[in-house]
Order: sequence, then structure tokens, then C-alpha cells
Amino acid sequence: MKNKPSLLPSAIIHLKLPLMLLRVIILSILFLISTPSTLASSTPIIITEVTQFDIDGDGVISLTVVDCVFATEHDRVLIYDQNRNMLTGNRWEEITDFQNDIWIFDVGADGTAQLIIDFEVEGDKYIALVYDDIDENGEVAYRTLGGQVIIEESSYWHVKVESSQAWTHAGDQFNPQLTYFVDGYEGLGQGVGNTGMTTQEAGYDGIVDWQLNIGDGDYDGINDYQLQRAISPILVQRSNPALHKSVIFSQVISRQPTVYTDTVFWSLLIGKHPYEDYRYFDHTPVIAVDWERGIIDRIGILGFPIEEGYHIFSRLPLEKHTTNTVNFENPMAYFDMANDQDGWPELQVRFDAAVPYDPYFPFPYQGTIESPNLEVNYSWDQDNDNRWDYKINLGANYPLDEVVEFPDFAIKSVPYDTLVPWVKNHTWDVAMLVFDGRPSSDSEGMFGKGWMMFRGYADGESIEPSGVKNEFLMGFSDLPPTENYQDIQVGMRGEYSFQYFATPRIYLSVLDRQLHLLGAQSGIWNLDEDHYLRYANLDGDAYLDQWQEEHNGIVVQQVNYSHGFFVYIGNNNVLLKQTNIPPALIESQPPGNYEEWQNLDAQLRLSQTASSPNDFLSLLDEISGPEMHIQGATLRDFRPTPQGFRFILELPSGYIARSDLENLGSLPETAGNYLVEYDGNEWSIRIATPPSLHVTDFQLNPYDSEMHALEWVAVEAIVRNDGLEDVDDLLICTTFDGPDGQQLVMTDTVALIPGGGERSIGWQWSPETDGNWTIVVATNCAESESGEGQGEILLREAVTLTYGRPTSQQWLLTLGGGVSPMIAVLFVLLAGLSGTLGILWYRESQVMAEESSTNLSANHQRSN
Amino acid sequence: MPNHRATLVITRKFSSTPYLLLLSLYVVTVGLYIGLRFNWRWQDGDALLLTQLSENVFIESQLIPSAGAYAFGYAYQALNTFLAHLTGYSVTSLQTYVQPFLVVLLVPVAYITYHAFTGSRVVAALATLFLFLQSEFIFESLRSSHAKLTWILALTMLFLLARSLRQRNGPTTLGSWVIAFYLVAFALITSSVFFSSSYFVGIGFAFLVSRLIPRFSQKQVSFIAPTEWRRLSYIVLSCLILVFIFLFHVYPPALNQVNTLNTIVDQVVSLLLGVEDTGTNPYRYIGVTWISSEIYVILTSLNYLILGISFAGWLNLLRQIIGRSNKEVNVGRLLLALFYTSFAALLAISVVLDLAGALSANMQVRIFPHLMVVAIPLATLTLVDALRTLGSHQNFRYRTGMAILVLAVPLFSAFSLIKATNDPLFSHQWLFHSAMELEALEWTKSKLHNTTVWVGPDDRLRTLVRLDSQWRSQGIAEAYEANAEVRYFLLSDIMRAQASRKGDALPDIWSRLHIYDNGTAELYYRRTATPYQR
Repeated sequence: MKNKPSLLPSAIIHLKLPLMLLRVIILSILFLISTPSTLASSTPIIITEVTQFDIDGDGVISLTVVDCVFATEHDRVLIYDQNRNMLTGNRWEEITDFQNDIWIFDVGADGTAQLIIDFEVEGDKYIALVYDDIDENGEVAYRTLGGQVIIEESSYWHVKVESSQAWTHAGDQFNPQLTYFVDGYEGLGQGVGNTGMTTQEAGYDGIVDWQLNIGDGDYDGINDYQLQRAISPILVQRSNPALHKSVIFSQVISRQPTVYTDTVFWSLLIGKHPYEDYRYFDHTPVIAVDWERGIIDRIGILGFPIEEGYHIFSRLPLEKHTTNTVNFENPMAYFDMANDQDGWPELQVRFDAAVPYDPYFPFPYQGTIESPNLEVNYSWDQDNDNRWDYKINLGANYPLDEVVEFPDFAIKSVPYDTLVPWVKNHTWDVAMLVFDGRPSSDSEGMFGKGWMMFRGYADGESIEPSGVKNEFLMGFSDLPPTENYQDIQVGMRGEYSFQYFATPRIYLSVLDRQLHLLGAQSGIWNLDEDHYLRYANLDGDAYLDQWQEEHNGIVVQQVNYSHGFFVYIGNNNVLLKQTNIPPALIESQPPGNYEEWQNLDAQLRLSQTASSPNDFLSLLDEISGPEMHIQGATLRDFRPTPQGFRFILELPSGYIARSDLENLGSLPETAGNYLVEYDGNEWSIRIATPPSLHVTDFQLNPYDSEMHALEWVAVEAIVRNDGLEDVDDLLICTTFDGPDGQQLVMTDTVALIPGGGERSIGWQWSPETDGNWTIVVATNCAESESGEGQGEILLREAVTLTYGRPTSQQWLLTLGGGVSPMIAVLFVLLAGLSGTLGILWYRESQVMAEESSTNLSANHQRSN
Repeated sequence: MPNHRATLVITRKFSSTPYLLLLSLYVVTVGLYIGLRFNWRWQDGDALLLTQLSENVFIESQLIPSAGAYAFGYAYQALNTFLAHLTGYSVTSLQTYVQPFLVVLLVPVAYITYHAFTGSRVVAALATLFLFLQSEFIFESLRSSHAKLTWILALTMLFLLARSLRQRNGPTTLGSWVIAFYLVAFALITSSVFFSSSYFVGIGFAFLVSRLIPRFSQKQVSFIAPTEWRRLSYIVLSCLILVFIFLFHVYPPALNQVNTLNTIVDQVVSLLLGVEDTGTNPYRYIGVTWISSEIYVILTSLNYLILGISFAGWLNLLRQIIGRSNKEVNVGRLLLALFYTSFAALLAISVVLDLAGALSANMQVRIFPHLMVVAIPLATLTLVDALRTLGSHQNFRYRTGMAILVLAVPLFSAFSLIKATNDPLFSHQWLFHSAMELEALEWTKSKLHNTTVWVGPDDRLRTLVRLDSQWRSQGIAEAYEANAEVRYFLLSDIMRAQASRKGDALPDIWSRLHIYDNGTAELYYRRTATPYQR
């Protein structure tokens, strides 16, 4: 830090030198014996001495020096009168003003300034021009000249604050409509994000970059909203997605803000505070200064988030006096669903909106996507411990076109009051439910972990972008990226449907007593390291119907539900339990208000179970109904059928069965594999014959009427299974062997070839050459090195191909008839012309040689 | 009987006028052939780009139009604009029907430059013919891009340099040569700043090499006075300062182009060695482009002959310069040897840098033509000297050698035409389109918006699309890969013929909707699989 020789002009030293010397000595001793440290942020200022000076000797007091404590044990404030109206006295409140004085804040009273505020009045506006340290040397450079303060740190103020009411003193209530202006790319306000510029690009250039308005829309004296927006061209055109060019905070419940108790002289000036512990609109607007560094830390209303209210962080700029399209977090809303006013919301609704042709749509589609897109994170805290327990993620290509009015601007959004019903009443294309068994707090709902439209999870890492929002919902892929949603963080459970097309609904499962997504296609619960529960919806109805416990990738037990039966297999035990209880204890929409939240809570408590979610037998015990228990048996290939379900029962010799199920009858006494089928009324048990595959039909369908080389052919094989046992995940290979030793192997994994049924398998083939080709369809060919042979060959077929459109030399010469064959003549003529050139050159040089050979001596040194 | 073979000298001046007129006729006919070969639809990415950028200059009357400026210089666009105003023809018409023929202006320029270097009309005449038989040069200068203008200026600059060094008529005349040199040098910079900067570096490197000659020479070398060498170093420095001024103060698009390069190494090498970002891998070129590597070798055989002969000639000149030979080397030949040394060394450095991985993958060495332009006169000089050593015109070996040389000319002419045009009979890289393909593109543009269209496996139609601002404004993207993003596929008979020739399959249209067909070009639509696809 630079040291100034003296903060006070020489005239003052002559007038009060002894007193000053004494004070300097005392303060220096104090300074030396105690390291100056920043005081606690909430400490009110303490005035130790007020001294006044007539700087220019005109008999009028023009400087008041206040020795005080606001940042260290001894600070000093110099107040220079700029309008010859400074009064005499020892109460700073009475002798100074915020209308035409310049206030210089000297932290540590070491002769340097850490902040300068120039108060002015322009018309009916009260202005404060604030200068802080911009060159990072810890002080604001200035000098005085005949009572005038000349600020040398910068030609431009950093922050300007404007009010229609006169400024008030520290501790006084201050509730004007304020406007802040910032000259500098860093917005200083809450939530404006990051410009992505280097620290060298500060933008202190006399051009206002940000404007922040604090508004009282209903004129009740309470601040209702804060709007900060980028206004300089360089920021408006900046494309960094982390930069929020429009930031709106709005509170819903009008509450009188708390006045900071430690404001420094001026009711807007405070030191640094733990703002993140506050809620927005809890406190009055301020300018918060980092006194240690001499810089403005924050401006405006500070605190994040709120219990009841919303904010909007938009990457698009906003204009006053018009209706604006804003994107990204539009809105981020908080609801006091518990009605407890404890400062913590229990419901958080986060929109992530992309507008048509959004310049911030994920790479590489910026500015090119015609469709809007909306993702909703709907998080709630079910047990009111201030941690997010559940979240429903919803995605669709909805625009936001309702107009939300503010006093001097409007935005397209969804009004706060109708936000929850809006979400609940819309149908959504994609839906996910995430449950967090190890919940945590987050100011943006369940945002930091778990799935979202834009984020999946695989191999222990989040996958962003996951392909749902940026590809599938945009039409860039034919299939949803399910592979990115087969894992989730430890302790979390996720369920999804990529073809949801319904309003968001949840249900409480009769089996595991957990809340699930109604209509989920699949799900996973990460219980611990390599320990999962996997869910599936095999019959495609509204409820999950398969639970699998998986350890290190191996399914150790499984429960299926179909047509009133639970079927369990695990530890060589098979259990069939019949129940007439529906799969869902309750079905509802996610809670959106106090009553719904309470009702759900009551239902959860009522159906609470002591059984852990992977203790399937205990969970089944809690369901009453007749059952069959087969000890020593195993079961596989469970699958629903149109009327019921079927599975293969493997009965060893000496199995023990007990049953009170009706209709099923007795089991075969002979050991073996049996196909057990239930058609909704009757059971049947048959000996399971092993799979027997063969191709019943094989077709090669060319695009034109004939097959040709280099043209596409649709290859289709109908594979039939004459056995009763299903074939799952069968690898089918078709090998195309060409006339010149070419070999092309196409594979496809068929999820199921049902016992007694058939499946069609197809490939697209473009033969690379003409001639005789052999096509072999086989099973499990990947097991052999050649791609053929080890598996079972289902079909071998020969086919002869010709070139459909051979490219002849004639075609190439005439480019398909577009060019006259006479072009060849011109080609030859050109060659002839060049030959003529060669001959001409030869003749010329020949003549020269002939002539020169007779004149050698005379022209020995001549050059041509 | 005197030994004529050993002391043969030329006594009568080579009659250059009819020869150059015939050569000009040949060059013009080559331009005509290329136009007719492809129905005036021979296309090249640079030419199409410069058509559009010249239109921008013409419309906005600005050298740096807001609609887009050429990143390397403005001279060619300015010339097109001038011609458009002068003739009343559109820029497109000029680019298609006039610019290819302006290559004829290179004939006299190349001739006087080569004459200045070799001091021989016979050699200069043959070298000029060889220059127009060199396929890369004919391709560069015939297409409607800045290359012909750039080469005219570059060769003029070399001519002025050689003449100014030979000038012994006092400071006033020398001054006029110097002024002319700087004017041409600045014009060259405005034509292509990267070409010119690498050229200046080449010239500078040549002079640097010349300062090393006395160290290795076994005799007193006094070809050029020390004051002349100082002047030459000033020339290079001044030209590089002109490049700097052009980059940083005159033409911002050029600096933007430098800044787009990935690394500092790329940027420096671009300026010094003329390496360009082409987005392609040059080392895969032959395998992809020609029906066989043997064909490629045959078509480019003139290059190998020129390189081989010029290298022998360079060794011979080197021996004369620094060896014990009593033979004097004139300034022109010395310059030729120096430039050859310099451009060969820079080419070697570029290739080594590229192969060593110092450059980004898509940076391509472009200094080869620089070398060829000086290798051709050096090779011709060597060839003619060698023929002369075979004996007199009555000597059988001499006559045979001459006959082979004369017969080789039409052969190389044919090779250069095939190679320069990438004739579909031999090449896989087709540089033309049909009227019906253009019609299909127009229809596509008029009907679609915000979608992706596959327009072929290579840049053939893609180049046309990329330069059509309406495609961009309507949000129509073109794609190489026929992936899931692609909704539409444009196929044509030319694509099928090309794919058939290459043994490639075209995208699968088996289950696509056939929505447009004009007889030889069709558009197919991939059916939607999700509600989000259109």
C-alpha cells in the first residue's frame, strides 16, 4: 500500500498541530500494538472523536474528521463540504450531509482512502457516486486542492446510486425506489453470473454496463422486486452462457425488510456480510464494501434464496417498457408448502427454458433450434428437514407465453400464483422421479445430484448433456438415451419414462411402500457400492412390476407382479402370492400445497414399513393372501402375456411345496423344467421343451425391383422358436460372403423369441460389389472367431448380383450425356497444339544452332 | 575439323513473338476446354467463395464488406468489381466466362521473368511452356480465384528483382526499378497476404544463403556487390513491414484469419511458410482422389522430371558457384539457384514440421508451387544445356534427345489437362455439378427450413450450399454423415456414378419417402420415429 505523507492539508496542521500530533502518536501506538483486523460485520459504528477544520482559512468549516470504529479498531472518515453549508458541532449527523459532501473512508486511519462517496443532488434526484479501488493496491487515490477533492483513482465512478428520496443516516429505515448503475463488467449484484472475461477486462470505461432497479410495484413502501440487467453493448452481445443478462428477484409475501444494524454512516453502506445465510428481501438494499481490499463487494438486496417468492436468471437481455422473452431459469420459484414460515421452502420449482432459436441452446445447436424447450425440476421436502427428498423432472417443448407484468416492464413466463397448477395440469413428454435417501440442502432444489433432462449418470459420473433435452426432444435421435439413465448416485433412486405424455403423477407401491413415478418405464435405486435395486415395467401399464436386487451385476433375487400375483425367486425359494390389493396404495399428483403435502405425509406414515426395500420376502409377508411356497426350486423367464403371465419352473428332486392357492393344483412330482402359464383364470403346467430355432421366411427386398451392387437391400428373416422355453437376448448374425473374399457380418440382439412364437429380424445391406454372394444367418456367431460356425446356422442362401448402374467410360466422358463426345476431339487438338509449340520451339532453336555453328569464333562471348 | 559440340553458342535471336502468341492460344484453348468439359459447371471452393466475396465488394462498394470479406486479401475482389463496372457484366458471369481466360496474361509475365533469370530466350520459351504444362499451376491459375493475379504479381516481382540486380545504368533507373518493385510487392500483399509473406521469407532466406556462399566457396565470389546485398536485405525487411502494416492496420480480416489458427506455431508458420488450414489431410489425398496411384504418378510425372532435373542443375550451379570451376555464373542464374535453395529448404522445413506434429492436423503445406515456379526454369536450363552437350543438330543423339523432348510436350499437355481438371475418367474427386442438381438444390431451399440435408459424401454440392446464404438464413444445414440428425437426402445420377466408381454405398433410402425427382436428382425424406422429428 502507498502511504500518503499526510491526509490533512498543511493549513490544518498549522492550526491544530499539537493536538494532531498527540492524536497521531496515540493512534500510532494503538496501531502498532494491535494488528488492525476487520471487525465483525454486524458491529455498529463507534464514534471516538469528531474534529472540524477550516481548510482554506475563510472562516467557514469545510472539513469534518470523524475518528471511529467501523472496520478496524480505529478508522477515520473525512467529510469535505462542497457547498459551504457544513455546520459546527460534535454530532456528525447534524453537521454533515448526504447532499453535497464528499465522504472519504480511511480504514485503519492510515492516511489512505478505501472508499470515496461523492453525494450530489441532480434535480429531484439524490445521487451517490461511489469510487473504490480499481487497481488493486488497496486504496482509492485522491488529492485535495483548496478544499476540493480530486479523485485520481479513476475518471469514472464505479457505482452510482440514485434515489427520489433524500438519503438517510445509518440505522434509519430507508425504502426508496433505488436505481444502481455499475460501470464495470462485474455486475456486483446477486445472481448475475460470470462474464467469462479476464480480470484485465474490467470495463471501467465510463460506459454503464449494468442497471439495477429496486421496485415497489404496489407502492406500499415495501420492495417487491429487484431487476438487474446488462445494458452495455459489450455485455448484451456477450455469449457466455454463465452470464445472466437479466436477473429478477420477486417476493410474494410483502414483508418489511430488516435494517442492517451496522450501516456505516449512510443507511446504504455496510461491510461484507454472510449474504447466503439471508433470504432475498429480508434486508434493505445496500452497497456492501470489502473494507480490507477497498472494493465494493455487492450491491442491491442481498440474500439467496427465499421461502416464498421467485427469481429469474435469464441469459437474454431485457428491455424496459416492453414485454420481454427471457430464457434459462424462468422462473425459479420457492413455496412455503408447510406454511411454517421458517425461512426454508418445502417446494421448489425450477424451470430451465429455451426459447425458439435460443442462442444458448446446448452445443452445437445454438440459435438453430426452432422449437422451444422446457425442463421443470419439481423438488419437495417431504419431512420438512430443509433437505430435498423427492424431485420430479418433466420435459416438453412448451413455450412460455403468459405475460407477467412489472411496473415498467413485462416478461413472458408463468405467473407465480399459477405455477404449480400449470406444471401439474400440463402433460409432459418425458418424466423422471428422483428420490434421495441421503438428502441434502440446495438453494436450487434437488439440483446438484441425481438425474435431470440434461444430466444422466453412468460409470460413476454425471453425463452432461445426456441426450434427452439436446437430442431426443429435439428430434435428433430416434431413441431416447436410456443408456445414460441406468445408474445414479449412491443413496438415490431414479425412475423414468421417455414416452410419458401425461400429467405428473406418483403412486405408493403396495409392495415396497415407496413413492414411484406412475407410468415409469424403468428405474434404479443405488443402495450401495455395486448394490442396486432395478425396476422394470414389463407389461407397460402404469406401475412398476419387476424388482431385482443386483449385487456386482448379478441378480440375487427378484419379484414380479402380474394379474394379482406376486412371483418371488431367490435363494432357491419360489413364492407365488395372490392378492386382491391393487398395486398402488394411493395415486396422486406431486404435492403442491399444504393440504396435499400433509395428505401425502399421512399416507407415507400410514404405510411405513420396517422392512428394507431389498428385503422382498419381508415386504411380501406384509401383503395378505394365499400363496404357494416351493423350497429348493428356481424360476426363470418370467414374462407377462396378454392374458396373464408365464415362467419356467425348475423343480429338482426332493423339492418341498406348500400351498393354499386355489386352481393351481399340485405340482409335478418328477424333477424337471416346467412351463407354468396363467391366463387370468386357469393355470397350466407343461414340460418345458428347449428352444428350437429355425428361419421360416427369408427375404431380400431391394429398393428397386432388382438387387444390384452398391444399392440398398432390406434383409428380413423370420425366426421361429418351436420350443416352449423362451430365448432371451439372442445374438443373431448374418454373414455376407462376397465373390472376392469380402465378408460383412451384421449382428442384432433379439430381446426375446418367445417359446412357440416368432420374431422378425431385419438389416439393411448394400453389397459392395457384383457377383455371387452367400448369406448365412446364424445364432451366437460372435462366439466364434470367423463370425460363423460355432453358433447354429439357421439359413444359408446364395444370391447373384449385378451392377445396376455401371459407370461406363462413355458416361464418364459425356457426364451422363450432358457433354458432347466432341470434347475428346478438343482434348486431342489441345495436345496437338502443344506439340506444335514444341516443334516451333525446336525449329527456332534448330535454326539458331545451325547458324551458330558457323560463327563460333566471332561470337564466342555473346549471349542470346 | 573444329569441335563444334564443345563450343556451341547461339548467334541468332530466338523469335519469341509467334511462339508466345501460339502459347497464348494454347492457354486460352485450355480455358475453353475446361469450360466445355463440364458445361461451364466446373466448380472449386475457392472460386465459388471468391465469387460471393467479390459480389459483396461490388454490392457494398467496400473492400471489407459487412457481408463477408476474403481473409487473405482484397485485390482479386477489387479487380472483379472493377471489371464488373467496366463491362456491365455480373460478377458471376465474369468469374465463369472471363476470369479463366485471363490466365493468358501470365504467358508474357512468366516469359520475361524466366528470361531475366536464365538470360536465354530459348530456355525462357521452353520453361514458360513447361509452366503451363504443370498441372498444379494450370489448376491454380485457371480457376477463378486470386491465384492467377497473385502469380502475375509474384512473377513480376521476381522479374523486377532480377532486373534491378542486373541494372548497371545508374541510380535513377535503379530507383524506378525499386519503386516498381515495392508497388508490385504491396499489390501482391493485397492479393494474398499469406502467400506474399511466405514469398518474402523465401526471398529473405535466399539472400541469407547467399551470405554463406563465401564461407564455402573455394574461389573469390563477387557476383553481387556488398551494397547490393544490403539493399536486398532492406527489401525483405521492408516487404515484411508492409505485411505487418497490412495485417494490423490495413486489412483486419487477415489478422482475424491468423487468430483463428489453433496455435502460435500454426500462426507463425502460416505467415512464414504459407501453410494453410484446409481442413483436410493431404497425405490421404492420392488414395482417395485417383483411381490408382499409378495413374497419379503418370499424370504428375512432369513434376518428378522437373524436380529431378532441376536438382541436378542446382548441383551443377552450386559447383560452379562454390567449386573450382572457372565458369562464371551470371546474376540471374545465381538468383535462380538461391531461390531454388530457399524454397526447397522451406518446403522441407514445412514438411518436417508437419510430420513432426508441430502443426495442427488440418494444416497443409502449400509452398510446393513456389518451388516449382523456380524449379521449372532451372530444369529447363539444365535440359537445354544437356542437349547442347550432346552435339550439333546433325548429331543423332542430339536429334533423338530433341525429338523425345518435343514428343513429350503433347503427352504432358494431356496429363496436365486430366490432372488439373480431375477428369472423371481418372479421378474420384469430381469438381463439377449438373444443372439438374442445381435445380434440386434450389427446390430444396425453397421448400425446407430448419432441417438437415445430406447433399453428398464430399464437398461437391456442399460447397455450393455453404456459399448460399439463403440456406443458412432458413436454418438448413448440410451434412456429410447420414446420421440420425439428417432428415433429407439429396441423391443424383452423378452421385450414383461417383459412388459406383469408388465402390461406395450411398445412404440408405430404402424406407425413405421419395418427395422430389427431376429426372437425374431426387430428394428423399427420412420418416419420423418420434413426435419430435419433422
